[in-house]
Amino acid sequence: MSLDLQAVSKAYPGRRGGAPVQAVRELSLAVEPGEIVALLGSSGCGKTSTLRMVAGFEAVSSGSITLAGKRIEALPPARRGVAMAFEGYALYPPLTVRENIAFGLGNRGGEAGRRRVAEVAELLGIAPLMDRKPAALSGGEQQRAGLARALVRDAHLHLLDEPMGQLEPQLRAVLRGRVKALVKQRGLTAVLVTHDQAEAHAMADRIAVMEAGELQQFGPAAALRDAPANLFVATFFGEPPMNAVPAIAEPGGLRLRGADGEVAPGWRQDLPAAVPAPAGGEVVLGVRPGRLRLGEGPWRGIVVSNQWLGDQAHVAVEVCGRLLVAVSLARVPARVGEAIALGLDPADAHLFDAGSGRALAHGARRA
Amino acid sequence: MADLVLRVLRGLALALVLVFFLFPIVWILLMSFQTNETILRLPPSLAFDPTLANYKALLTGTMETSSGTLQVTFLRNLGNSVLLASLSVGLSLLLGVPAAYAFARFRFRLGEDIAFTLLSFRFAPPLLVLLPLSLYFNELGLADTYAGLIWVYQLICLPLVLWIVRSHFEEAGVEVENAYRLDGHSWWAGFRKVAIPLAMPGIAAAGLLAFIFAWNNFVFALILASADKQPVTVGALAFVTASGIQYGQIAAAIVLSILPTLALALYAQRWLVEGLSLGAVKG
Repeated sequence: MSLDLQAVSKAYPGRRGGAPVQAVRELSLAVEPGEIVALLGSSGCGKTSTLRMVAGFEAVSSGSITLAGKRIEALPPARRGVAMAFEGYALYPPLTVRENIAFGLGNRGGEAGRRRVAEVAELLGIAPLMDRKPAALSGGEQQRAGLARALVRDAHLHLLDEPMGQLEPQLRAVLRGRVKALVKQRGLTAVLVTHDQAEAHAMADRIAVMEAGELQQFGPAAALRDAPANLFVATFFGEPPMNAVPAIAEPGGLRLRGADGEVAPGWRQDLPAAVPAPAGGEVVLGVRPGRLRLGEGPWRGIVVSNQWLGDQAHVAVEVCGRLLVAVSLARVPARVGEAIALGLDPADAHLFDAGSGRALAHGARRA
Repeated sequence: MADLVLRVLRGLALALVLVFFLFPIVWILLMSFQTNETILRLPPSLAFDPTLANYKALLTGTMETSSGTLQVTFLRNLGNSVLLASLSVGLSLLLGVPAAYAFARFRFRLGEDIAFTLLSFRFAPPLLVLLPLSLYFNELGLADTYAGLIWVYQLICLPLVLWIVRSHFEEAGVEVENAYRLDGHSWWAGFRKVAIPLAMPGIAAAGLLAFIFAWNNFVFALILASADKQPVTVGALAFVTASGIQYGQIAAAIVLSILPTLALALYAQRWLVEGLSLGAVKG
C-alpha cells in the first residue's frame, strides 16, 4: 500500500535543558504500492527515527503520515497495519523460532499460514532451526528469524531496519536477492533502513539519502549516481568518493583554485556551452575517480601514490596542492614523484554551488 | 588417582567454607534445644540433652524464669512481621514496578531527579528521620498503626524495588515490546505480557531483598509502634528479663523467624532461575 510522509519532523528534548535535537526535518516522501524504498545514510542521519515514527514507536513532532489512504500518525502501533524486522531482532525469548515467526499470524494463519512460515524459513535458510529457542541461536540466525517474522505477516507496509547487518557477506548477497524476490512476488510495500550502499542498490527500487535529519535526494540509484542533487550525495556514493575541486566560473569554463585558495593561472577547464555556470560564481567541480583521465589533459600533477589493487589502480595525484584520486582499470605506468598530465571530459563534470552545495549542472555522460 | 585426591580436597575446602559461614546458624540451632544452664557452661560442649522447652515457651506464650512466669508475645510478633513485611513489599511492588518501567522507558522532566531522590531515602540514617517522623505520625494519627508502619517501610522497600527492577527493564530493551505491539497488541498488554515476564527475575530478586530488609528492620517499629504491633526484631527484647537473658528462647525465636524468609527465598528461586535461562534477550 502507498505510504506518504508529509513534512514530518522529529525533535527530541535536549538533555538537561539543552537545545532540542532535531532528528528529522520536514521530511516528505511518497512510497508507491509494491515499491521497495531504502532509507540510506550514516548513523544519526534520522533514518531510524523516521522508521520508528512510521511504526508508531515515536510520536511525530509535526507533519502527517498516510498509509493506504488513512492518516496513521496518531494511531497506536497495533492499529497501523505495519510489520517490522528489528535491528535488535526482538524475538520473544520463551518461544521457539517457529512460534516466533508465526506469532503475528495468530490462529488466523491456519494451514496456509503454516505453509507460508515454512516457505519463508526455507528461503532464509533457518528451516533446521525452527524448534530452537532464540537464546540458542547466533546473532545472524536470530536476525533471519526476526526478518522471517516480519515477512510472513500480511501488512500494509513492511519495515526492515538493517535486516542483514549481522549476516556473513556471502549469505547477505544471496539473501538480498531472495528477499527482494519474495517481496516482489507477494506484492509487498517495503521500507528498508540501511547504511550499506550495496544493500540499498541491490534491494531498493528507489533510494532516499538522508543526512543530518534532512532528505538529500530521493530517486532510483542511477539518478543518484548520474545527477546527484548536491555535494553530499555526490561524495556519498562510490568508493573512492568523487573528487571535489573548488573553482571560479568564467564564460565557457572554470578556473580551479589551489589549496592556498589562489586561482592558479593555467588551471582552466573548458565546459560545454550547455552548462550554465554562473560567471564569476564560486563553484565546486566534481569528477568521479573513474572519469579522471591520466596521461592526457591540461593539468599537471605529481603522483603521490600508485597502487594496483588486483583489478584496478588507485592513483593519487597532487594538483596545485590538492589531492585528486583517479581509478583506472589498467595498470598506470607512472612512478611516485613523477609529473603526470591529467584532465577530464566535460561530459563527466559535475558542478555544484560552493556555498550551498546544491548541484548546478551535470555532464551529459551517464555512468 | 590424582583426580580423586583433587575431588576430595575440593570437597573438604567446600565443607570448610560452609562450616565457617553456617557455624553461627548451626550454633543457634543447637542453642535453641538447650537450657540456659547448658548454653552458659564453660567450656561449651556439644553434648547435651535436647529439650523443646524453648519452643514450647514461645508457642504457648508463657516463659518460666527463676523470678516467676512471664508472658511472651512471640507468635503475635511473628504474625506482625509477616503482615508488615509482606504488605510493605506488596505495596512497593505495586508502586515500584510501574514506576521503574516509567523511569526505564520514558524521559520526562525531572525524571532522573525523582529517581535519585527515591534512592537517597536509603542514604539517610533512619534515626535522623525518626524524631520528625514520630511527631508527624502523632499528628496524623498514624502512630502505632499498621498502615503507618507499612508506609514508613516504603523508605526501605521502594528504592530497592525501583532501582533493581528499572535496570532489568532497561536491560530487556524496548524492542521485544515494540514487536509485540506491532503484532496487534495494546501498550498495556505489552507491559503485562512482555515487559513484566522479561523483568521477572529482577522483580523476584527485588521483592525478596525488600522482604528481607523489611523483616530485619528494628528501629522504625521500635519507635513508631507499641507492643501489640511490633515485629519479632523488637519483640526479641522481651527475652532480656529481670532474671537474665534467655539465650535458649532467643535462639528458638531466631530459628522460627528465619523460617518464613527461608521459605520465601526457596519459593522465589523458581523465578530467579527461570529468569536466568530466559534472560538472553540480546544475541
